[in-house]
Amino acid sequence: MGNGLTSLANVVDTDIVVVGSGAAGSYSAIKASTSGLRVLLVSKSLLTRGGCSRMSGQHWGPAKFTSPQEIEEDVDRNYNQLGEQLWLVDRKILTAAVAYSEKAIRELEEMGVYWRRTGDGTLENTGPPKPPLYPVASAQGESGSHIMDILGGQLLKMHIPCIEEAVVTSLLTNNGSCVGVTALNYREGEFFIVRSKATILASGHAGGYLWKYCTATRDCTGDGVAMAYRAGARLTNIEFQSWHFSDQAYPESARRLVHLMADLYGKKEAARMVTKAGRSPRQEIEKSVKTNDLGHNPDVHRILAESYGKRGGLYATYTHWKPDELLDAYPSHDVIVKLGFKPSELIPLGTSAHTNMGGLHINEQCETSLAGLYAAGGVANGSPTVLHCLWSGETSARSAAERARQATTPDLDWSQVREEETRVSSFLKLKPKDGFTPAQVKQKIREVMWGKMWFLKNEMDMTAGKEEIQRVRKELLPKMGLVSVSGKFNFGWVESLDVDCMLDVCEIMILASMMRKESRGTFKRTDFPQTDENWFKRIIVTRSDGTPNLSVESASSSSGKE
Amino acid sequence: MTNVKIFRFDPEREKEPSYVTIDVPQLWEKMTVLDILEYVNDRLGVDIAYRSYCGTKKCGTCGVSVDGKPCLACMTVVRKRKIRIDPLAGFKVIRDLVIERSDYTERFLTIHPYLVRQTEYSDFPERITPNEMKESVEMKRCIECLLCTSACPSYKINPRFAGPAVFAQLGRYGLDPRDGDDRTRLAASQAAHSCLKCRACVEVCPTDAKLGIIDFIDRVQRECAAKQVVDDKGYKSNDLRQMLNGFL
Repeated sequence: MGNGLTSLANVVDTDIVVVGSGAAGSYSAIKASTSGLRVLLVSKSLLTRGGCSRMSGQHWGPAKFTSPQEIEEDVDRNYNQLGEQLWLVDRKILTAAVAYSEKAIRELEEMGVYWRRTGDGTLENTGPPKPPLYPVASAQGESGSHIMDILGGQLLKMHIPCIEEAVVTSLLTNNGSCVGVTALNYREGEFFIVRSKATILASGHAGGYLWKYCTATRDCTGDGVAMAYRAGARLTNIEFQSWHFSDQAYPESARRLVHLMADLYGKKEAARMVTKAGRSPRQEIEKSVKTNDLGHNPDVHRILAESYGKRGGLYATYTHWKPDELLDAYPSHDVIVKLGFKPSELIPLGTSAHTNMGGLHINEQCETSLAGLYAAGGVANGSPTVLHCLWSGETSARSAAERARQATTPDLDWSQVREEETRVSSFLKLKPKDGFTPAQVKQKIREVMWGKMWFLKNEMDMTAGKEEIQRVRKELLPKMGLVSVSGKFNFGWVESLDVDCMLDVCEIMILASMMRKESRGTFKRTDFPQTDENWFKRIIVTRSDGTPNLSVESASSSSGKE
Repeated sequence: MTNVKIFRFDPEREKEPSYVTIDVPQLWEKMTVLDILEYVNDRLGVDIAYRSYCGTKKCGTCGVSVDGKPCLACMTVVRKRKIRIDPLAGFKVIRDLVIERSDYTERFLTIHPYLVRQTEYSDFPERITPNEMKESVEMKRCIECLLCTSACPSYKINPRFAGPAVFAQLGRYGLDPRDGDDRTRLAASQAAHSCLKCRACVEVCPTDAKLGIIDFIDRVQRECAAKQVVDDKGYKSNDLRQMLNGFL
């Protein structure tokens, strides 16, 4: 099609539709198709190439457990390290994900993943010196790429139909159930409808790209969370955004490069963090925090944030490594070499928004509050790791298959389809002379979030942030348009849809952050610096009458912390 | 300040490509081509279509041609005062800097891009050493960015030759000691014998895959010759190479 959208006859029928081709989406499609059901995967990026999974440096799970108690101990160790906020996730989910690691590692090896060995062939350990053993796929820093290549190969081996470079624009509902999705194949400029008995949302977490500096990839604009919210699903823990303080400061487009301030293989620091004068902030940190991981610990981040602010003023140095040994242990380091940094040069570090812990509220079957809709990976509430993606990928596939086997092909609500088609096509318009492209509006949103919703938050900033986001919606959106209205690979068209999602997610995130009157884990407020046990609660967000409705529920009955 | 000329083409609406020329200030040290693309789109609203997700040499989608040389936008530091950015040569243009990857993808689908175990998987952890995996691990670093294929002279003139990227993927499995598939036959079906070993691919490859690609192709060419593997058009190995030598 050239201009405008295809007819409503463009409906694809399937048993299960999977949205997203990261670790969670790919794995759930593989698992769902072994059930003999028809599976269709729709991916916003080129297949398996977008999203956070490919960026993951580690697998984050042990290879073998000797007792159930060891699983519980590992849950405690893992999540204490990643931050107090994780205890708001249902303990059953945390335990199930960690317990799944053993199976995932074995299965990935069977598919062809090479878990790195030492010279004599024993598995290399990236975790604590004592068992359980934490293997790393291929090498530190490249687990995600390796795992994603293998999962991508499996999708092809199993002949699972995939549509790449197609962005899902809405979740379709009828009589309170999810009955499929609408999507824009932006490669061809075609709007299409997928009618499904079950839908697995695996579109990635909502954080990251909302901020000017982030580790999230360009395609991660919170679409899944926004669509689920619009479709009436319950969201939770959305205020818990995690941060990095040790990412490449410039070139800015390489900000997603993480300098791991953790020990490598339990033996050696990956990078040393220093000030321009060469002084390590470690002593300052160790006065109040005991950790060997300066990369992930939120209390380390608070100390650095208070001392160094947004731009950090900190540097990474690798002079304690022999260059060859460094590249062998941490092959991604060659990016630094390629960008022209000399071994002796101080590498400027910056702050960036990392993963978001919140998302769709799921139970341990990965069911959401909307019948027929399942969530896997970062889009669901849980720990933001590849391990969580694999566990929830498998679990959502099992639950979706169960439903799909019993269900008949659902009816579509055609008025809803038409309304969505109108919304999507309304963005395919030229920008007025004094207008803005969607890329510019996105940039504006990201600057507002960076300015007012940074790691250290307070009531005044957040109120101003909320108003600015509302102003973007009111004043910039009507002036937003494209440079061209042809359909094929009009990425501006996709970005218009991104803007719509980002505005919804930002608003929800700000409101939830303002509601939480305490600090907890990665969530830090300067006006409420202490953790308040009365706030051991989850904030639930739903949509009622077109606006966000926030409520709280106690987390104690299903507490993560035992 | 860098004077940047960027290729623009919307085949749906335009007969001929054109260039947009913009002066981009030095934003920070080690500014990359991707920084420039982000600046012209996100700041100036020019709206150039380009692919890119990660910015850190992992996704392999931001391949462009800078002053005629294939490179990754994210890993190319701009040092000149004047540059020209074109789509990767050798591919059809979908829009602006976005190329049609389907020739690669369709071939990729036929080469069994997964491990085909020669013996059944026994149990975790399988017996394997880093030494045995070394060559395969190097090839696993291929990010399918297609810079090599864009630079390949044989791919340009021989539509049956798959281009180096497909062979890098074949290599990652073919060099894996656990793999038992007939990778030589698969390589022959992609006209492996048409590789001239000119190393144009090696020169542009941004990853470790460059370390083994020529050796792998050399190996399959020799195996094709030894086994008298005939490709789908009836050419024996080296026939095409001799034909091509006349053109180059």
